[in-house]
Amino acid sequence: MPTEEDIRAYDQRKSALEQDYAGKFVVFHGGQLVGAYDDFDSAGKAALHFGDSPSLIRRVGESIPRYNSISTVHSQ
Amino acid sequence: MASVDCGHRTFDLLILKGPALEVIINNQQSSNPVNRQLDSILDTGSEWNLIEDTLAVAVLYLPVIDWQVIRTATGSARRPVYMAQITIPQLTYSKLHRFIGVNLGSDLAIVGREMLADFRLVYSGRTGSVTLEY
Repeated sequence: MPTEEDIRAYDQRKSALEQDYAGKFVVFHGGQLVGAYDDFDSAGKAALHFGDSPSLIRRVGESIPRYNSISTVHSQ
Repeated sequence: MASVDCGHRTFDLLILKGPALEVIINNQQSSNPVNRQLDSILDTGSEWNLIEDTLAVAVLYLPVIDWQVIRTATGSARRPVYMAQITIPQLTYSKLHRFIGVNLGSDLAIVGREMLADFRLVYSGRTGSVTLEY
């Protein structure tokens, strides 16, 4: 899972990231920004370059996710 | 444009079960690779993709790439966000996507609007037919 170091690095740069990369998917590894990508698939591929070592992938400026899934009332 | 049938024989089965599709989930982990067929439900009511959390942890060994606080009908909770390669063979579609781990009550994934953005979805409630096109 993403390290506290990566989450802390994201939080410290949050304002600058929101200014420069709003809507992009960013990858952090080892406390460093690896890159910003237009879609999750590209960001995920960048993270896979580090093998099984954990990375943080987050969409910049994303609001709190909400789900009201039909699955929650789906009968089996 | 390729298409796959996600509907049911009758309209009432579609109401009961929702649009469903078999997908292949790959965890992309070199140390413990897992490739598994999984039932999924197409859910335009969900912004994100979701996956049964116990399945993601104990069977698929999906890597956690973030944590998010999510809002549900019952309140807020901090949940893991997993990464997985999702493949739909009939559509020759294969991409990395993220899934929030939640308790869905059975081993399945929910394909939400984030992934549905790649497709055209044709829903015929009167006949029970649903088609996903890519």
